[in-house]
Amino acid sequence: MEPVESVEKYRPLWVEKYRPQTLKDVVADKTIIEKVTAWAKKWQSGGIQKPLLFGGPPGIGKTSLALALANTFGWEAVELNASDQRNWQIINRIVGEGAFNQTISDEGEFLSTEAGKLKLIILDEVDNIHKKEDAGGEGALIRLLKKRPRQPIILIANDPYALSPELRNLCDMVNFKRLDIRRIVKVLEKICSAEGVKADKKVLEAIVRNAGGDLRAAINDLQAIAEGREEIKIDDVVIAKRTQESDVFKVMQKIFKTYSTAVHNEAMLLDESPDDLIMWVDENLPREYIGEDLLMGYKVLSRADIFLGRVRRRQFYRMWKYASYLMTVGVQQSKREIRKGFTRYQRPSTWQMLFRTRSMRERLKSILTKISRYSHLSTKKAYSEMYFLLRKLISEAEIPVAASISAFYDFSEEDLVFMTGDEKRAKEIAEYIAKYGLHRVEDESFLSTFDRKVEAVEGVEEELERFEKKEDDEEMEEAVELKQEDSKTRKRAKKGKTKDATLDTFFS
Amino acid sequence: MIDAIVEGDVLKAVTKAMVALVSEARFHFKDDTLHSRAVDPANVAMVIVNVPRDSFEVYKVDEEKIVGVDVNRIYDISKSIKKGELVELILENETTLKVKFGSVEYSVALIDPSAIRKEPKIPNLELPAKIVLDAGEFRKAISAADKISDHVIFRSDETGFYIEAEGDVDRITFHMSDAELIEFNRAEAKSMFSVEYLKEFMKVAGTGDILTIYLGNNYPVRLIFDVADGKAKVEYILAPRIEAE
Repeated sequence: MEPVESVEKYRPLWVEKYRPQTLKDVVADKTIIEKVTAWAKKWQSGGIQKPLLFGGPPGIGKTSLALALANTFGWEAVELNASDQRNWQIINRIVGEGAFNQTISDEGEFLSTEAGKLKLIILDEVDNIHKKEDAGGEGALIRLLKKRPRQPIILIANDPYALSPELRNLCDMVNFKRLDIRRIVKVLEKICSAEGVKADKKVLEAIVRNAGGDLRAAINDLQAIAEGREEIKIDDVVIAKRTQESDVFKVMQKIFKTYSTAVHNEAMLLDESPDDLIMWVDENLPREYIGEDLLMGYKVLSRADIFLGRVRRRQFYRMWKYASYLMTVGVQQSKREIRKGFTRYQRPSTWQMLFRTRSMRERLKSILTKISRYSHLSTKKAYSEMYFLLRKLISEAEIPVAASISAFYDFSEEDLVFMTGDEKRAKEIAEYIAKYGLHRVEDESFLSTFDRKVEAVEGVEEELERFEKKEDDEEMEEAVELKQEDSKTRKRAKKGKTKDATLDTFFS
Repeated sequence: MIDAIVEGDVLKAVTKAMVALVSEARFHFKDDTLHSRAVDPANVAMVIVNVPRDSFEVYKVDEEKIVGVDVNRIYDISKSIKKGELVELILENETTLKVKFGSVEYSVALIDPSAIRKEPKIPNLELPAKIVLDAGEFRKAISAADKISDHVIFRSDETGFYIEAEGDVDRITFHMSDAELIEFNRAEAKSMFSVEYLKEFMKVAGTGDILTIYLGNNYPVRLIFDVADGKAKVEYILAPRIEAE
């Protein structure tokens, strides 16, 4: 073997090299460390505890804390991370067997829980298990945790809320927050002095800010920049800039202020899907182009949107390429000249708008669902053919008519407010409905029975009541319902011609 | 340069024994034995494999060597070796192991030994009871226990050796008296173990193979199988279950 290679091979990652050995060295909130220590102490004294669930963004020391905990208490650590193949069989082996048996350590010693020598099972990236091909990983885990494992377990997840509530309830949650920049800088300073690298605090701060509160990323960046050097300067940091959201603005600038077609590649490196990117271009296009340029720009952009629509409908993602090319280079090339001056690019307002109008959209959707159900239409047709008609009628027709329509569709008062845009009118209609007890008749066959009965007792209400009392058990059920409804409908029947709120009279 | 010729059954038995616990392992080509040991990923059991020099037809080791092996691969390959057929293992460099049998030659890529979990020491265990029996009997007992429970109790006293399993409603007791056992020291011992592991272990041996059990009180058990006509020795050390409170 060549000597160069062996040097290469044994150069450790600083993240591993400077991983905290004991709890003292761990960078984390005091409350977290206290909680975890208390948990471990209870285990140590023989009490079986719920597993812990560490949640929080990546690179802030969740795994480090778990390993340091095992180290501090002299426990054997068994780690299962996402890089391993993790189907339910392996979970069964490691958790199912590991947590119910005593331990034979890596060193080959027998460790007994009776002597306080425990085994800490660390399941890293739990939020990824159920997404793996072998479904049921999470189910297997839940079944095992319910059996009360006899060895301490720590589950680690970046997004604990992606787990099923059942699994979360079996664990005690510990939430990790993003680390303070100053604390990360301190860690980097320590590493620098240990590695003999001279670095200004400002330089380290730049690295940390670049890594966005991610300690692991910060250490990795530091290693990339500083390894094998004696001093690092602020200029070195710029080269190694991490790709981040701020780069969207750069891409916007390249689209609107240059003719360089390399922008397409750059846009592809962003963490934005074409669906999102088109929003960015759309938002900022009118801030930049005017006159014919604007027209041409939108023409190209709309073509891009057509492709996005086709991607969605046909699930044919290869067409993303056309869409993304059109929305970047296409828009870029459609200008006749570059406008001078600085433009402040904005984030798309569409998302905020969608968020604001969410309740409205949901209201409309529930109204359309009702129309589609009672008029036997698709919601699409309900919107294109019925909705506007009904809205006009409810807003402008006489109150009794409007009321019978809204009763037929079972519209709530909120629905009416939404449709009429007039609270007073909505209230009037609602009151009319309440007053006359207008309601939907769900069961059509029930209606025919009703008609027969009505004929039988036509006219005399007292008779009706007597008649009901005589009803035999079989028909009792119907009758009771009828009793209340009837008396009301009777009244209305006398007054006008409306039966229960069907629209027959109205439409015929 | 290492060149070793051995019966295919030996290679099969050895790799099968390792596969029960790990997927990668370090093999030592020592002057007098081929040796390997590993702890399973759940840190519950250990496997130790020894094939003495005498079991090989040819065993040429210029220099003692440790190689990292993907045991799953070798086990897969060894499955296609016919019974009684000889297999030749050739190690010319650090990166490939040649496995030759019949007219087939496999070149298997080796794993850098430093990338494999480091090997355990063999623990010193105080195990009073020694039981020697036919592995086939043991196999029957474990298969029966597997049907009703996930754990079994190994127990020995002067009346004999017991394997007991308790399900929700049924109960199985397997008993062999002194007379039925090949060797027995009548010592008292009792420990509980996971069937899951025992099930894997028993696959390495068949009827006629000799199994030696060393048992303690709430302590690991040593199971030593003489496999492939006594040409190889497979030892498992299994940690006991934690007793329910």
